[in-house]
Amino acid sequence: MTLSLILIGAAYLGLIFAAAWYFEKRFPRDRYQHLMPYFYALALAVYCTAWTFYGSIGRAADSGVDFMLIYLGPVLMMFIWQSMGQRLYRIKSSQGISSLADFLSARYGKDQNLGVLVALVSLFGILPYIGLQIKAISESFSLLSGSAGESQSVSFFEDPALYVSLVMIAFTILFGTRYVQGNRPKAGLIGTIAFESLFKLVAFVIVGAVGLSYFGSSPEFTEGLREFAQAKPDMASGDWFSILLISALAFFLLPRQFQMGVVENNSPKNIKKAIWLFPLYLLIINLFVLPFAIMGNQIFPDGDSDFYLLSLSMTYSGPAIAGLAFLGGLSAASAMIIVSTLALGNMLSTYVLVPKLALGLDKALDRRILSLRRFAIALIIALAYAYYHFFAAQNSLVSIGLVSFVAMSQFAPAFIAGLYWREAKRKAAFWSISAGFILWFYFLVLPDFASIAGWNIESWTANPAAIAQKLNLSLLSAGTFCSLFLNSLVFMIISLRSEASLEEANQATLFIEASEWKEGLNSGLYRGSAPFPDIKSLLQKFLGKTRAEVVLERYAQLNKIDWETSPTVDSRMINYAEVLLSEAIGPASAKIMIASVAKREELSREEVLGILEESQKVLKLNRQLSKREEELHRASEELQQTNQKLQQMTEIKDEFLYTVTHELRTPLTAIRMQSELLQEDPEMPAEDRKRFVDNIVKDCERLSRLISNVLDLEKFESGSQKLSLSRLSLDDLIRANITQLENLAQSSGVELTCEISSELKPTFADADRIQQVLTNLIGNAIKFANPEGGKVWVTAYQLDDDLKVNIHDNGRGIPESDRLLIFDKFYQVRHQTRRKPSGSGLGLAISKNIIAMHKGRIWVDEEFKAGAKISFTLPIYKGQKTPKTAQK
Amino acid sequence: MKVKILIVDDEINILMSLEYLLKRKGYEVFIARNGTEAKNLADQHLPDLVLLDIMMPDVDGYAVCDYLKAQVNPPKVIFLTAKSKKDDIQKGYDHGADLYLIKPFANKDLLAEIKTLTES
Repeated sequence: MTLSLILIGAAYLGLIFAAAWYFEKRFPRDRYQHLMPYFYALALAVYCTAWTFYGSIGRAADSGVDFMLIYLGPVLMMFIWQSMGQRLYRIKSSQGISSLADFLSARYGKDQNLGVLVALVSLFGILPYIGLQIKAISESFSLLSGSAGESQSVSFFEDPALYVSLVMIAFTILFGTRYVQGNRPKAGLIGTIAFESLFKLVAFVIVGAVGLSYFGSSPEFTEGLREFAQAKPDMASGDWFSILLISALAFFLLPRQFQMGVVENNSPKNIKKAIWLFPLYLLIINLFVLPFAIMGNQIFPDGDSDFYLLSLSMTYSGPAIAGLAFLGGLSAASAMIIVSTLALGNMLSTYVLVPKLALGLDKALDRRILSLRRFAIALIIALAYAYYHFFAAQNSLVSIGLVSFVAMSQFAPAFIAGLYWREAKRKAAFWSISAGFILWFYFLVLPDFASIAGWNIESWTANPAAIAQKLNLSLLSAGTFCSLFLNSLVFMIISLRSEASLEEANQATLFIEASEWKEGLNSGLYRGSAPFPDIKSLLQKFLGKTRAEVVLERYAQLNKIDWETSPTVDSRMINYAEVLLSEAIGPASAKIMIASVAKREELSREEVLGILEESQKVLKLNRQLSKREEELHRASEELQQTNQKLQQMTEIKDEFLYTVTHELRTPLTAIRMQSELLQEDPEMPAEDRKRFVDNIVKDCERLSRLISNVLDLEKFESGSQKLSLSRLSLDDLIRANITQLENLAQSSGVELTCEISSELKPTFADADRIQQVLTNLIGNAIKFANPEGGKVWVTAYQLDDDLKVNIHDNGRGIPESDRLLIFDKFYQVRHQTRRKPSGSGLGLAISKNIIAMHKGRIWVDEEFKAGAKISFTLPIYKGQKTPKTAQK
Repeated sequence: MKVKILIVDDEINILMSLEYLLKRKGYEVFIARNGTEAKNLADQHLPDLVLLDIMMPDVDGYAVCDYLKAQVNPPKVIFLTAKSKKDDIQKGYDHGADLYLIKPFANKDLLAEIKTLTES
């Protein structure tokens, strides 16, 4: 077993080297760009360390479902990561930021001391955490190889963790320190971390699924489930909250998370995919945690709960699956070690080693900076290894991890306020982090330290355990709350009581308004100029000759500058050079370097504040302008639409007017002609005279009917016509109408009958208007009935909620194409050259309006083939009170 | 020989009045109430002039005009119509009409136009 474990472990490590080489050198660039959002989401899963493999099962075994809080925190962060991640991306790109220390230093006036503090706090906070990963590798190895419990006897050189650590140093140096500019995307690194994330996910799922399939139906598991269901979580709500809080903060403050989530991010578009892929990843990788915790508690009541995954796999699934579990843990641990070390190494070298050992030298420094960074990486892994070797034996995996989370959350007030609060000050950041760190140490490190050293701190009056007890919290939660509380308090007070330096005020503006500035905008404080050769040699010194040539060339092309003819560079180029240097040596050192060659035109405080105020005003104005512009755009669109509608309405109105005048002309013509005939010929025979006068009277009647119809229709369509509704018997109404039209029918030789259901319920309608409709429809039917033996019959009966009236005739019927059109006003005129025999052409349009106002329907029955059939419905009376008027 | 005039209109009152007016002025008058009738009468009597309405229930006035103007000795055609838009008038002349008169009109104006057209 031992040999095969060594072999597969070595094979795996070989594999990640191959993967890194492949992604760095051979992977097609366009496919890489295409897949980057997925790589990014997977790289964020560096959050899941060996701790996920072993520690969370241990925690689940010891205290139930609360292990999920550690994953819930980052999931909650996803809600704001879309906007926060974008903002961080912009700041990182425009400020040349390659670590958390760079970020805080840059925000607070490019301060060197703040960077040092962040680097050291991170180092102290994270070293044990890295040690923990090494411990996980070592212990999982000895557990599987059967040497568990004899770890004391393993000699220094027999510990596999030593070799893993050495390999990690090699890997991180090889693929993490390729470029002196710390934030240049490293394809090999990201590809490999994404690969490791995928590997550990698949490994966990396979190990979990196979294990569960073996023991899922065993009586022990059933018993464990029963006990688990009955157990009550005994966690105080303060503990829930503290774990949720620190894990949410850890998502972006842990050095490895900042490295992957911000520094290595090459496009703001990656974030969109990550905010749902990453939570999905966390969900899947946690699926099998509880089953293993439950089963482990049953089978190994006295065993180390951190390693249930391995021991259960050995017992149930066999050595192959156990080996896979070991590899999964190894991949999780190695990814964490690589990225954390890279991030810490960057900070340590930038803020501690480079300023002390390189900056003052007068020669090319790019190689030297890289060497120092590599040295820092090796040093950190060595220190982590030492921590593991000498101290880490006692603590469970989970507790050290959470202690690190709390340490990193000390950056939260300065970090978050730096993004969103203009008043946040450098001094405040420095002292709040220091204060928080001291309390963190007091609560979460000192007790362990004391117990190792044999100090008796319990006798102190304000000892950590006593305070925690008083607050009714666990030591971890008490440490979290006390340190973060003091931290925030100090931050607030100092921020509000101190003045910002010019550099700080400028940086504050840039950070807070990062999402408003145009891409790539960088407004530094330099107003002066610098000799081009000086700037060039500075860039060459820190970035290397070739890299400096490349960036200068690119800048010249972009800004259409010929370096040959420009002996001095302007302030924009100086600021750009400062960003480039920041990427290599951090913003604080870059500032000093630039100051050494650029003549800085001294600006008074008032001038600078004036510039800042100006830029804020411009910004505000811009925002207002773009808002105005949007509003204008919307308004003009609305106007256009209204205009179109108006135009349509005008067209309809024009057409209507034309049609009305056209209809008026016909009777008018007849009247005029006949009147003229009468006028011209006083001796006209009495018979002719009578005929003409009668016709004139008829035509006048027709004219006035037309006019009143037009006015009626206008009233209906404008909505000014009101109905006077009342309870009506439709039966009576129809019969009265038929009596009225009897004469007309007889004179046209049409037989007019009706058939009305005896159970017709009353309707609620305007009697006069319904009369008008009936007269119209029945009158039309009489007009259109067959000239030889014409028949018109009216039927009325009850539907569910309506009364239905049908008017039939035995005429030619209505052509299919006209069945909808006939309800349009003057429909026959629309067919400009065809004409209905007689009538105003408005009757059906008016009828339709009246029925619609009653919430009824009127239509041509298409089934009826023996002539024309027009039907309409009216609602049944439902006990409405009779209102005076009802409007359309 | 009397000048022969065919009147085509679906409005009975207008038709009757025109007939009365023109007969009194000594023209030989034929009347048609729709397009089909108009074509038949024109074939039968070969009128010198046709007073033509446009909107009719069957064949419209334009079609009748086309038909008349396609004859060997086409009659003069006056459109008498309520359609008063510029486009309508243009369309009437496009179909070969000799005159386009908009309803209502003065009897004497119509008579004068008829006289001009039939004596030329």
